[in-house]
Amino acid sequence: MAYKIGTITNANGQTAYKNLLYLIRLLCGGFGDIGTVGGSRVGTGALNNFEASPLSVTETWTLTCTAAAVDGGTFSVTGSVSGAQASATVGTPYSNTFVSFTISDGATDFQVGDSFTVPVTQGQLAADGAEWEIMRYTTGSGDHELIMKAPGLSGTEEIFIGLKTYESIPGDYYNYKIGTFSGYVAQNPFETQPNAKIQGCPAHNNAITYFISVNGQRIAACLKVGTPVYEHFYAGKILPYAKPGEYPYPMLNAAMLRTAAATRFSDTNQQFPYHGYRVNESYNALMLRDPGAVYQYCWAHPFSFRGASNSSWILHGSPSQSVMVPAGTDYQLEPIILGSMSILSLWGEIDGIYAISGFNNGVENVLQIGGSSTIDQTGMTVLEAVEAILGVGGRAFVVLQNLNRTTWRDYIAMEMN
Amino acid sequence: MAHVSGTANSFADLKTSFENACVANGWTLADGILYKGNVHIKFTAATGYLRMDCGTGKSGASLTGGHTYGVMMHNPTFNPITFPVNYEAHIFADPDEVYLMMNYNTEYYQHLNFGQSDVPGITGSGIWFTGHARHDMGYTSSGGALIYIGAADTYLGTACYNGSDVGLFVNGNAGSFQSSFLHCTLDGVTSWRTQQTNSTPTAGMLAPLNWAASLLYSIPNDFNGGNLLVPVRAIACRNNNGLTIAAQMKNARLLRLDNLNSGDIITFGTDEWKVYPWHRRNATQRDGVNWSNGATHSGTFGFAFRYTGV
Repeated sequence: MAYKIGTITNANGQTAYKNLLYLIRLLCGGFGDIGTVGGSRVGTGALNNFEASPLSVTETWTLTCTAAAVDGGTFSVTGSVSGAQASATVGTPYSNTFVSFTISDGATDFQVGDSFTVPVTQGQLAADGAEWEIMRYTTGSGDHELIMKAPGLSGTEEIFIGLKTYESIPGDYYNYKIGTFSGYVAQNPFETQPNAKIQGCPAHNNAITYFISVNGQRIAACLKVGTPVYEHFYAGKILPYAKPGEYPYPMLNAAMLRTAAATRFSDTNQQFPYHGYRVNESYNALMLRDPGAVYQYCWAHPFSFRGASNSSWILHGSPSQSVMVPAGTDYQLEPIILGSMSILSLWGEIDGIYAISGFNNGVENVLQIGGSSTIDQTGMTVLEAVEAILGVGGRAFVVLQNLNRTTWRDYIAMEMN
Repeated sequence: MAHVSGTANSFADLKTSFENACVANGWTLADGILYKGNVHIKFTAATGYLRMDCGTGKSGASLTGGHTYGVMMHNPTFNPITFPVNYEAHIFADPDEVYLMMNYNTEYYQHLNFGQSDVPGITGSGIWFTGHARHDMGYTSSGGALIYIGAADTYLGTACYNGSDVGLFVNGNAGSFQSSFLHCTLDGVTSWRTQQTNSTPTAGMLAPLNWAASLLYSIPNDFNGGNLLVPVRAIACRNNNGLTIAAQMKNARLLRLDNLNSGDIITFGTDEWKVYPWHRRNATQRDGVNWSNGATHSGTFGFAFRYTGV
């Protein structure tokens, strides 16, 4: 299990949403987290594109200049755990089993003894042995693509998930295509991968605050952009009410737009997907691949009944009829159960996303359940609160709203672990 | 955790056997009242019924803080019990949950249950008790032998006009003889709550089973025959149409019995559950029969209690 909470901006010559795609690649791929670069140097060259592979472990890498050269030089490469590796040459892309980088030359040449130190923390998914395989990652001046293969909770599955950027400067939209596939064909474009289901999620070309939860079978994300509004997507398996042989590939593609539409984040017709089809039949974009390999709309407990969007007894129904409220300050999470619109069947539960009451609640609140002590979150950021709750053995849930909506039924809780 | 089973030749015999089973598993019997903590239960056995009343305390042989109504198993005049009956008691602690199921005339079942909610934040005692019928339901009339069930994907539950409510919080927003009760403090009011008969949430009452209508209507799954164990809940109606789960049983569930026999033991992961019909299984009229006809069966609606026997 892995999570990331933070804000990403335009940097490295890329817009924020393309940088976020890179971050998703690192997170899902189980790449190591890079800490603050240290060391001491006379030379003014830079350490660029440092990446810790999914095989990296938690350690500090030390790069030390062992031979100076005009507009160049040689650096030893040593991991505090992995030991000495092959040396690196200034100006030449370098990689070993664990890390890759390029040391660039500067106006002042490196001298013997100059050093970089780079702390690396093993990727969360890699530590669990649940890292995803990166099948395709393309960058450049056009759209960026990322297609990955997740191992499932069993570690033996093949779950194909992709994201692709699409944008329009005159249309002022910078969005993702959310893709779920049944396989991967290297020669095929993103849109024609096997059994492709592609929907859309608006993002932004400016700062994006992101809340992402990943495990071996799915990614769930919420992006805070613009005014702000909260954009959601979920791609991957649900927890099916069936044996693997009965329902081997319960893929959910849940997003804000039913297609890769030319829609800006500010469009208020969008709905988060978790209400299911009944609550907003015109715009809901929650699509589940059924056992017959057909993507279907679903009704979703506790937001609706199978046959009605509003009733006095739907747990998270219309506030004018009935909606859950907490017992005192104790919020009651409800799993989101997906049911078929066409046959009598309950497919399963969404993994890691729960319905939560918006009564006396607010977006980006962090709910604690369990733990050896109750965390006083005063003054904490969302990330700090999550880390503190996990630190005492509790479960941490970030409360997130439906786009710009704030009624009692317009919130979900995303578990971070 | 205990599973106790046996036979009883009368309601009085059943009362004694059940009280003994509870005493053997951590409950105290004094002055004819069974108690543990502030959960107090008093049984009254007669030829036609075994009545159970519940209170928050006792004074001598009397309950204090009790509800006006009790609940009962009964011997319906129009479908009489042939003794001896079989019984099974499922007794759990932390939280306390006790389920007594009586099986008679081969395929008929009635039950009594009580316990204490461990849902945080509801305050008050959290004591709950339910039974097959409210104690004053007219079991000597023809209707007293019947179960009325309304079932669709937008509403669900029993309609206890003059039939048995069935208990365990499965009333469906209709009738007059609800037999499920919970004691708690919410919205500043400490009271016994029962399932309401109105069509919109009324503060101070409990919600009908309708909240689970689409779940229980959709199973067993058409695509794989799979079942789902739906929680047994007492859901409190709050001010301004709010709903709060006031009790969620750790050891009881709702399910459908289309692909199961009464008394089967099913396994989910490492947990075993013993399944029973709400009253009598009937796969032909699987959704039961609604008001005003009713039936002496409950379709394929069932309960599952965590099974700890061997």
